[in-house]
Amino acid sequence: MLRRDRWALAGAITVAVLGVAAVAADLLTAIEGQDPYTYRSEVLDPQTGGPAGALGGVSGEHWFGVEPLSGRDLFAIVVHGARTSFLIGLAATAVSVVLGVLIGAGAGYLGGWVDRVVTWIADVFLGFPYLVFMIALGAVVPSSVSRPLLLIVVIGFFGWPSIARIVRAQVLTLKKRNFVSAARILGASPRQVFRAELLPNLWAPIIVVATLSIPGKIGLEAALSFLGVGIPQPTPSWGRAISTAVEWVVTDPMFLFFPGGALFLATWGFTVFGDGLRDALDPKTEVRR
Amino acid sequence: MRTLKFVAARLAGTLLVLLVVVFVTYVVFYLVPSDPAQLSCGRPCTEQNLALAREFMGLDDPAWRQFLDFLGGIVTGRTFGVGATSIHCAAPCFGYSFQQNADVVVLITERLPVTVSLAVGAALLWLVTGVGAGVFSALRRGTVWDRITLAGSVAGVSAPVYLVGLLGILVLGFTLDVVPVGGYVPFAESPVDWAWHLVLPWSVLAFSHAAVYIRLTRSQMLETLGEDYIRTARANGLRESKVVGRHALRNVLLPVVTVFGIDLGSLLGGAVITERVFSLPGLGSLLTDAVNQRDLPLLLGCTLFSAFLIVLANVLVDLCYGALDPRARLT
Repeated sequence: MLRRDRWALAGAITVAVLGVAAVAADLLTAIEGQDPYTYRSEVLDPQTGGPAGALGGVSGEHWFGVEPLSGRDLFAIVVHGARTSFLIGLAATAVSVVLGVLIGAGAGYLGGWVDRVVTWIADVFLGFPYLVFMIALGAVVPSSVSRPLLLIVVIGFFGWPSIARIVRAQVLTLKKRNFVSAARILGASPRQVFRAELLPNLWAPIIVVATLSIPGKIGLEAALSFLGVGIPQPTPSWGRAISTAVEWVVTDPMFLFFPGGALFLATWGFTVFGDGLRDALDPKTEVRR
Repeated sequence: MRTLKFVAARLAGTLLVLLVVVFVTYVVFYLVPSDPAQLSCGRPCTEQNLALAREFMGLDDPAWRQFLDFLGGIVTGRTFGVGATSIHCAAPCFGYSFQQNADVVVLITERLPVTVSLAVGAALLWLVTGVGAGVFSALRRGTVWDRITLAGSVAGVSAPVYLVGLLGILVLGFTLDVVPVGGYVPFAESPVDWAWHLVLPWSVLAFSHAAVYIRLTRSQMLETLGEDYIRTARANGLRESKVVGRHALRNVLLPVVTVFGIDLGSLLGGAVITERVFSLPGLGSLLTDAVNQRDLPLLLGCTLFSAFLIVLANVLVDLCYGALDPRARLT
């Protein structure tokens, strides 16, 4: 199914390429002969502090050029930044999915007051100014707390309601099916029903909603790093690189182009791949295309 | 009567939500091991000064007492310290920034016009273009135009607003030099300059947001056009423009209104990223400044204010829902 959808295929390939770059970041930078941490003043223009040479210092030695003011290798920053982005995006999604599936399935299956309370809390969460809250939180949490861990937990925690909603709706329809009733009448506990009857039927929607929520989480990490409350120096991050690029956008546009392009490709890839997955797994949406 | 009851129930629920938001925000901010007294105590900070600052800010009291004082301040205002050096923070008091020596509400209202100008202008732009392009795309399903619109909207969803903003600055601002790239001119000073300085930020925000509306409008439109009542309308000999414009669009707008309310509400709470890119002195930059100065009361105030706006937007959406969809009024 997916193979016929050229957009989704392009998205999948983009994600795969960036994923490989993230995993093999050390290998790739070793081939290039650079690393993302070494400051090199000799590749900078002493007058401006920007990269020496055309196109932001792109050369055989520095494939994507160098960072202004520090002279760190931009290719190394971009591939190691991919590692940061993917790690936080995927881990935060995992947190959201686990919470969302447990809470959503619980609310849908148990019903009654549990359902009402969960729905209400989810509404509160969806109406919470999470970006403002995360920025403020990033500012007040002491720097001894690991930033990647904080980002994963906070971004993941705020993501459960949208997943819980979808899972709850699915469980509500599954609950009325005969095989679930049969299991219940035979004396299966809610936990057994969840593991053996509900979960196998929930995988498709879970995978779709998880894939579609990854780009938002990658974007959120980049946005927080862009604003200076995300990943701190010296860990490479796309968002922080773009934030530095604000001051250099006129004199050194290549410094915006590479990390910005990588971030765009990552979110774009996950979005079109997720759309394709949804169309492949949910026949209802495919008709509408 | 029924409408009145609906509104009253919604308002009561809203109040409860706000209370929960205040409570959660307060707990998180004050559980975090950082000391506002320490931060505003000045250097060198002696033990004595620190103790004085703590007492002045009311940080000596137990946590529950501080929370109740905070809540009370919103209703009646509060006074920090006693005697000649005391500071009064008038109701509604959402806190007092000891670092800037200013009432948080005053700081917020000073910045509000910038953010409102930015958010409302952009919102109108993206609502019109997003819904328009979505309807257009749905009516020409499968054509080249449809595919171009869809590809554009996927790009808009994927591109972060600061990336689009920086590209806009680079291409339109510097290379072509057609629009100003930043700064804010108050509306009262010169309406023309006000709009001219906001053209680029509006367009950038609208581009990023419109994408969602295009996708939403298009899929909703396609679903609606397949409904029986649309066929009935057509069979009755209604003109196509009337079928789409009056009968279909009304149904399409329901989910759009929901998303629109939340988007506008959260944007009004501070378009943090856009304001940073275009150096606009709005609520978002107030928040960024508060972050850099570790100004806790101001951070708390900003968070609560944006929560308030989002919740308010949700209530307005619910009320609009009632007006747009007769079925929603009965529940």
